Amino acid sequence: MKRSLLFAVAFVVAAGCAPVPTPRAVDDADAASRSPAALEAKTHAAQVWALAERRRLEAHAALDEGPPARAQFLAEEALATYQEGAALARTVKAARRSETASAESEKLAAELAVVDAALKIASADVEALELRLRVAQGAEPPGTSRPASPEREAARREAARGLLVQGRLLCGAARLLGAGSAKPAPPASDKTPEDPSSGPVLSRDLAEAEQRLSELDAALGAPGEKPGAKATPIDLATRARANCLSVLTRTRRQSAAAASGGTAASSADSLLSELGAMGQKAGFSPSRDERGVVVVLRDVFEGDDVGARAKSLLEQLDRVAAAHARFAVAVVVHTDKPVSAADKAKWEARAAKVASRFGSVPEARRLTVFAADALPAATGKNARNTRVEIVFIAPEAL
Amino acid sequence: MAGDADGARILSRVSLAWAKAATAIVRATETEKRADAAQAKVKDLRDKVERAKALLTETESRKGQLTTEIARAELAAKQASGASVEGEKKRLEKSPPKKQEKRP
Repeated sequence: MKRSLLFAVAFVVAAGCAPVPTPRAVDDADAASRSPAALEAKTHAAQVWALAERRRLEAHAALDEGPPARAQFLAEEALATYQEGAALARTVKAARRSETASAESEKLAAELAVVDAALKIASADVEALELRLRVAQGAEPPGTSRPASPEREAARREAARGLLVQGRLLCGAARLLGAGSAKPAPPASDKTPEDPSSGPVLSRDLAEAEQRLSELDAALGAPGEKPGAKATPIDLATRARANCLSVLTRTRRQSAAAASGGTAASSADSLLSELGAMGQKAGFSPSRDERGVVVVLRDVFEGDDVGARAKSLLEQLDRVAAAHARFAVAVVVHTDKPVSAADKAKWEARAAKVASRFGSVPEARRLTVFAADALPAATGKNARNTRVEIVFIAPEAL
Repeated sequence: MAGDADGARILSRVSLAWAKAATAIVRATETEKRADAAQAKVKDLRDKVERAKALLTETESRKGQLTTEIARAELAAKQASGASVEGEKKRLEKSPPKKQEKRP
């Protein structure tokens, strides 16, 4: 009994002298101060972290000085402040991440725009090339004409004469628009692709087309030659004209690309309407064809000279030509009957006189063609076939 | 604790500190969401750029291939066109114009 009493007294003494346990919040605050989040806060939200540390140390001081409740409250405050600091650090880091991502986004968007633009151009090129390939693959090779009766040969001969004049006009127009000025390209190969609108290729093709025209001219013989005496090279005539038209078209395409804008069609429109207005007073009606804008004049010559009325009209047309300097001018003289070799020079001199009325157009931009009766406007020997065509050669495709 | 003005002041500070912490956590969450969205956009854009570049390479290669095919096809077409003129030359050399056939 005595013994148990002794134990009880010893326990009460021991319990009375034991230190007060540290409030849990203080331990938690200590743990929080060592956590990675607190380290982050120290780096990114130093002020808040410093406040939290101060409260934690105050809590430790309160443990010694008391009361313990004060230590606990201060530790709680330190814990909350550490939490705030950690959250602020997260905000700062996220904001930086967001900023970096936005900058990268902008850079990538710009890069994407560049790649997209390049892709658009490349896709358009591919589309154009696919079309060109389909055209080249689908092109029917022109067939060879068969032998025909003398009457048919005579008709072919007339057609070939017309094609020859048209070919001369088209090739001449291409030359006026700048084709043939570059050094000719070597013959086409199936290995090295070539740009059909490039200057050297145009020069080579123009020379070939003109060579064919010369062959055709030689094959057709003198104008007075008896029709049907020999077979007509009608295929050569069609090919020669087609080649000249192809060169002219490609020259215009090149010139349009150089001008980098479709202004030709609108300028041809304005030229046509200008000439239309002039024609209403002067009695002519301009038209448009593959060469450009055409004005037909009749009764131009009085003897070997240009008549007074025609002179006045040509003066007006020269003023129009001066206002549309991008258009070259071709003068085509037609007759209503065949012209002998002796008279040809006389007619060519007359054509030159008409061309010389275009003083505002440089000589290198003028073309004179004597068509004789190769391109009649009306069938048979009709006086209406005697005429002078003034062609304003369009620099770009209409 | 009654009449403990100092304790009351500290308790008031504690509640304010927790409120500030809560606000900061909400703001942090929102900012992180925005950052995640921005990074997702970057990833999306990067994928798009990669795809566009791959497509561009493919298109350029197709362009080269087409250019070669065109050179071949156009040369063949030109040769075929020239062949018709050559064929005609032979006809002109061989046969004079036929005489008109009498119709019955």
